[in-house]
Formats: sequence, structure tokens, C-alpha cells
Amino acid sequence: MISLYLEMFFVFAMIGLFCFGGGYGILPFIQGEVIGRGWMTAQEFINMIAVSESTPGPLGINVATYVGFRMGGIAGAVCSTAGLMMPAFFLVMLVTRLLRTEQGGKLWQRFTIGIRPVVVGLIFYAAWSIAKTVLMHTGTAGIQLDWTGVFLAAAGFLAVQKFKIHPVLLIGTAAILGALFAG
Amino acid sequence: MQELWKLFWIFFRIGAFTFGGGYVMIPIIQHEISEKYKLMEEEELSELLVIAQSLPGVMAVNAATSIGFNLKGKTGAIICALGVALPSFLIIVFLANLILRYNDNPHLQGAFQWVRAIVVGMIAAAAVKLGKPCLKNGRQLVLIAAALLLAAADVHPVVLILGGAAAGYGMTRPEEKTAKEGDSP
Repeated sequence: MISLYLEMFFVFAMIGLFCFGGGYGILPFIQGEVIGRGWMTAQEFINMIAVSESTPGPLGINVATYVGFRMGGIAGAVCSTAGLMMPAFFLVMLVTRLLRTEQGGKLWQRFTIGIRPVVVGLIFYAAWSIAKTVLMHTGTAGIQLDWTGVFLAAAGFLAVQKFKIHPVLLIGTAAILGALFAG
Repeated sequence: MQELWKLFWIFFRIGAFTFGGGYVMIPIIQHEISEKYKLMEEEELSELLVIAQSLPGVMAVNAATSIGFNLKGKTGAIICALGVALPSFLIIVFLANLILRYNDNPHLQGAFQWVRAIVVGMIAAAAVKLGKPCLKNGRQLVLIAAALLLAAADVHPVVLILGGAAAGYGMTRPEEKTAKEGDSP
């Protein structure tokens, strides 16, 4: 049990040290490090994104807390969340001063010019994997597309992209309608 | 002590009432710290926030840690980070408890089934928005494609991110050199 706590602490510390790009920057790590270890199913993770979008607070903290709590109760939640947050202390104490010098700032900028597009590619791939998990089902008749899902996903895309509808409103509506009509 | 408590409370409120993560939180942090409570000069604060946003990890935690460290040292860093993370921690522990308990309820399952599909659309929209600034630059496009393909081939994201940093360093070298030559007396 102790080893699980340690493992969660260090896996989330690694994510905290390498996830770039804010909120969705955590997506590329979930498949291999969290779902792959059996800490959470893909569906639970996507549920968690929805919960996270409709409650205050950062996605990373929410995912770490949920996974930790699910695997090891309150102590587990503390371990994984502390792990995720720990690199911030070292980065702030050791790196921020360097980055505020002209040379350090320039060097960091050169690194991030390459990191940004890589993160975009990683998030595209993660988004594709999530879409496959949610919208395709492998049944007896081979791979089938869930047409209700495809319609809802398209509606979600347009609602955010074109009509700038607030995520909380969108998710709340989908949840109520889903509770009544899905299944 | 009183000031630490005040800092904790400022970040706790930001963590408790801001929907949408880092990008939404940064302007609110700016308003609270420099305009409302006048704890830091605006210029210094924006410099710290720009760095906090470019560092890896949870943006809100980086920002809180950085501000806390600058105002009150290590204790300040810990207090501010705890303040900003605690509300989501408590909310998720509460919700996780409910979700795990009522997992088998058909209405909850139905709600999540529709919500998951909506989330797919929302992630796609976010990905498009994120990718847009990189689309004009040919070399960055190549990096996007390379990262996508290598991720599909199961290469670990940490390796790809380190590779991206190296590529960025290599890509920008010539401009750096000419700038330096121009500067030298």
C-alpha cells in the first residue's frame, strides 16, 4: 500500500514537471501513466474532464485528487496532489531567478519555441484517442460509430467554437438531458 | 502571520470561485494582488506571471507559488499554493465520494454518457484553438506532425517534449548568432 502512495506521488510529480500548455496539457500523460496503470478507466477520465470543467479549479489538481482518492482514500489524494504540485516549488525557487536574467530568458524562449508545437501534436493525438474511446464501440458486428455521440460532439464543438457558450451551461444541459433520455 | 493568512485567503477565494483553470485565473490573480491589495508592483507581478505561465505544471499553482515565494519566502510559497489548490481538492474529494458510490445509477450513467460526447467536442475546439498560432510557421508544423506520429507510435511524452526543447534550441540558433555578432564591438 505504501508503495502505491509513493508511486502515485512520483508519477504525478513527473507529470507536474513535464506537462506544458495549461489545462489540457495533462491529456498526453493520462493514457500511459494513469489509465495504463489501471488507476482510472478512459471513461472515468473523460467524466473527470467534465466534472473539472463544471467545478472551479484546475484540471490537473482535479485529476490528481480523483485518482488518488479512488486508489487510496484521502491519504492517496494528498499524495498524488502533493506530487503534482511539488515541482512548482523547485521551479519557482531555482528557475524563476534564472529566467528573469536576460540570457536565461532568451535560452528558455528558444526551448519553448520547440516545446509548444510538440505539445500541440501530443494534445491532438490525445484528443483523437479520446474521441475514438467515446464515439466508437467494438461490438459483435465490428467497429460501430455511436451516432448520438457524434451528433453531441459536433454540437459541443460548435457551441464552444462558434457560439462561445459557457462550458458549465453546456455540460449542465447535456447532463440533465442525458439523465432523462440516454440509455 | 496575519499577512500569510491574508495571502492564503486571497488564493483560496481565487481557487474556489474561478471556473476554467489557469488562463482565466491569471487576470484575476493580477487584479487581486496588484490592484485590490497592492501587495506587488504591477510590472514585477506581470513578469512573474509570464514566467509562471511558461513553466510546466499547473499554471495556477505556479503563479501562486511564485507570488508567495516573492512576498514571504518558502512559507509564503507553500501557503499560497495550498490556498489555490485546496478548494478543488475538497470539491473533488466530495464529488468523487458521490460518483464512486452512485456509479451504478442509470441516470448518473446516462448523464455522463451524453456529457462525455460533449466533452469530445469541447476538447476538439480547444485543440484547434491551441494549434492555430503554430499553423503559420512551417517548422512548427513539422514538429506538430512529428509529435503526433511519434505519440501514435507510443513514444513517451517526456521524450517528445525534451526532443521539442532540443529542436527549438537548434531551430533558433542562427538568429541568435547574427544578433550576437551585431552586438559585439
